[in-house]
Amino acid sequence: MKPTYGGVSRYGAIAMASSLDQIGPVSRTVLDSALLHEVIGGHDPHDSTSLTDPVGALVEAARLGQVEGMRIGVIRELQGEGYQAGVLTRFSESLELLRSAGAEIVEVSCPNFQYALGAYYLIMPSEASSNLAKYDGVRFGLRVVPDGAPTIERVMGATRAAGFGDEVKRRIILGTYALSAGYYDAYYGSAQKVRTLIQRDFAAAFEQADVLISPTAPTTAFKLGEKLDDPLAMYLNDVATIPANMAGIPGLSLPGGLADEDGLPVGIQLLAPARQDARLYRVGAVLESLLEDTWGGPLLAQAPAIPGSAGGK
Amino acid sequence: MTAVTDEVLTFDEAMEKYDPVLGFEVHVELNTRTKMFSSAPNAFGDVPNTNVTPVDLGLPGVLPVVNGVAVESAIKIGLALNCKIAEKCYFARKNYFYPDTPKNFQTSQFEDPIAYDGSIDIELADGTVFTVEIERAHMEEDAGKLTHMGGSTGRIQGAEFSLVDYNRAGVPLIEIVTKPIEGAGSRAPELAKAYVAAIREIVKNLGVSDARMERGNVRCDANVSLRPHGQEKFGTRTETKNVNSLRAVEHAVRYEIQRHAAVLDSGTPILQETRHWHEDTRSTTSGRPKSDADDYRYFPEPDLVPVVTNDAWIEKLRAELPEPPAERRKRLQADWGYSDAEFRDVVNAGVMSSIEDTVAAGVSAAVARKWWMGEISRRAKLADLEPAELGVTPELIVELNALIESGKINDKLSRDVLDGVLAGEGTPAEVVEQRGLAVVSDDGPLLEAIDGALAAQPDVADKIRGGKVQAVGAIVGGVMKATRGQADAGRVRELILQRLGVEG
Repeated sequence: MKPTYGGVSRYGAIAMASSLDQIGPVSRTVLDSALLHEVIGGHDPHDSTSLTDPVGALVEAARLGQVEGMRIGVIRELQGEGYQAGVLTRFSESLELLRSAGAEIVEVSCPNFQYALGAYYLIMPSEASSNLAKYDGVRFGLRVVPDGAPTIERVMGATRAAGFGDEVKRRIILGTYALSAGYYDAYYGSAQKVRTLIQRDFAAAFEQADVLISPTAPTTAFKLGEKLDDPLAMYLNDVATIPANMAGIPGLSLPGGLADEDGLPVGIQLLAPARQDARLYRVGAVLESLLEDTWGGPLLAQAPAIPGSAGGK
Repeated sequence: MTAVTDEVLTFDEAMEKYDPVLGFEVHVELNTRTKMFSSAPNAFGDVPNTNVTPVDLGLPGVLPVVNGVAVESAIKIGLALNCKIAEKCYFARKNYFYPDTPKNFQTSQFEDPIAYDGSIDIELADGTVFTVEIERAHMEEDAGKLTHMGGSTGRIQGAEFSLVDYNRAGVPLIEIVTKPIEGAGSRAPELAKAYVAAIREIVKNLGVSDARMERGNVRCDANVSLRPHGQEKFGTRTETKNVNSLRAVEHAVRYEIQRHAAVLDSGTPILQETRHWHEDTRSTTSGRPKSDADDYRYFPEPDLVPVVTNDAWIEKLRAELPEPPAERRKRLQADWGYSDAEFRDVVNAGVMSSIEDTVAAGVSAAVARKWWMGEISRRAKLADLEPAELGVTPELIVELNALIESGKINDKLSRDVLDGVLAGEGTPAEVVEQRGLAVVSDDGPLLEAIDGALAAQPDVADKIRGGKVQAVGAIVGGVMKATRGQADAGRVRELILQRLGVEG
């Protein structure tokens, strides 16, 4: 569950991109997320960006158990080309289950989503480059003192070279570049404008639908480290989830079954307007229940044992 | 390390050829209870690294929260500088790596300062008024304090290691930036000093800063450029950093004008750079190159929400503003009837408020001035204190004055009474009693002393008899000496003239 931006305090969270970061529950069931969300949600005076609204009746929404009459919008731009067949099959099945439960399935269009990934990968590294600057070995954490005369610049450099991984360094470099004088307007400035366009797309879509639905990712999981050398392909995996972060709206992802071709899990994403997190719990809990009926229990029960691990069943 | 001494022209030579343009960035540390973005105490002089929270150390996971009092102080400063106040303004991150900056960015304001487009009138010692335009006043946080150890100069060059005290990191700062100040001519150094003095006075009067320059509460970066007379375009400027006394501001501006003039005369362009001020040699040395394209990668601070103001709030703060120092001075001078010179001396001696209080306690402005500018200032100078720090209360002056006016004591004795009171011997009346300081009003002892004085100076006595009445002062002096000052000089004069059979 990714709550509305500001719905859960970020105080204590190690920041990557402050305007995109959001704390949320990860749990085995939709209800568990709602229970945890009600505990961790709400205003925190230590986080100026945290919402002052009460957290809302999330558990009640998860227990409501009906979606009859709700309008569920399928985002045209988050399906089709680039999406794995097994992902689309499981996605269609979820739509059918919701329709059978009395929801009205409509199609919505969010044309500016095509710019979301590019804009996200400017804003996120920009903010990350600044947020990660504090990891310099001066006050806490790793400190690497290079041989020779260790000036402050050399200690900071050696510490950061040793402490950050390649992907982190890539993002710091990208972000530093994007914020540089002469490039700021073209990169960071333009990306912020895209953000506004995405918010407008969502606003229009939510006039036609109470919640939106899409696959969580275009494909099932790739192998650990497999796409490190092809960052664009790796970033493409975020195409469906980042519009919500760009707009600050809540999103929920739940298991939609296993893809036929590789047997790996497929995620179903639900999105709601800002501060309407309860709608996600309501629809999510119903879909979870319908899916588990077809599987005869939680999807996790079908997970194979990981070799050499005590986990799994 | 030997300081490189640059060539300079004399100030007059520089003025003959060039026209100076000034600009100032003054940083004012606010005296809020807590820091700009954290709940750590904002206090000076404590054990290093004790006034810090995780926020001030930039630990992972922390977030800033804006200090509401600091915002109000910023608005008050803006209003006192006749600025417009932004309806909505943002904080921004100024990114640069330096160990005194815990997050390796300073939270400041960039494109939208809270206050902008103001002006203040600066009055020089001779009454000339310059209007200085204010570009902006914005909120930001101070950095920690670095102490470089192991070197001989205390500077980073040659140091073995450096210590960081984060007590100052996060202290609220207001940076006040002027527009370029043209037309000051040879008054430029004087104007520089008067401008910083005015800012210091304003923030102190507002109560938003302790305004102690020796503690770094008010710090000035002075920009200077020269252009040949008649040229419109500004010359290349240098920025002399952290000039932290009023005298130093004046000297630094004067020195940079003289140095620029020499560089320009030699046909070399001025290097745009920061300069360090050295009080001992009264000169500047080169700092680091500074171009307008310094890249701090500013972007809006995503951890903070915008500061939104409204008219009701601003008007409430405006109504709370104290009387501006310049207006207060005008009013007091008119009330007291002092000449311009008298009033300027009072202001320069730092006793204006003391006189105000003393007049309010019930003596005339002339009497209050006589005390504060005379005896009390003299004692303050001897003790190396400010006059107001001596412990002389307005009520004490009222009592002393009453004793003088009633004829109980004279001016000279009143100083002994003051000694006694300050030494804790009681009220003025008690001191007069215990020290036996009352004026001798019995003519018997006086006549005895007069005869003695006349006998000691027979030639003077003859002169007086011959009609040179003004010579009587010498005899009066002798009598006062003989009575250890405990005589009424007027009565003594009368008696001498009587004794010599001369008409006063």
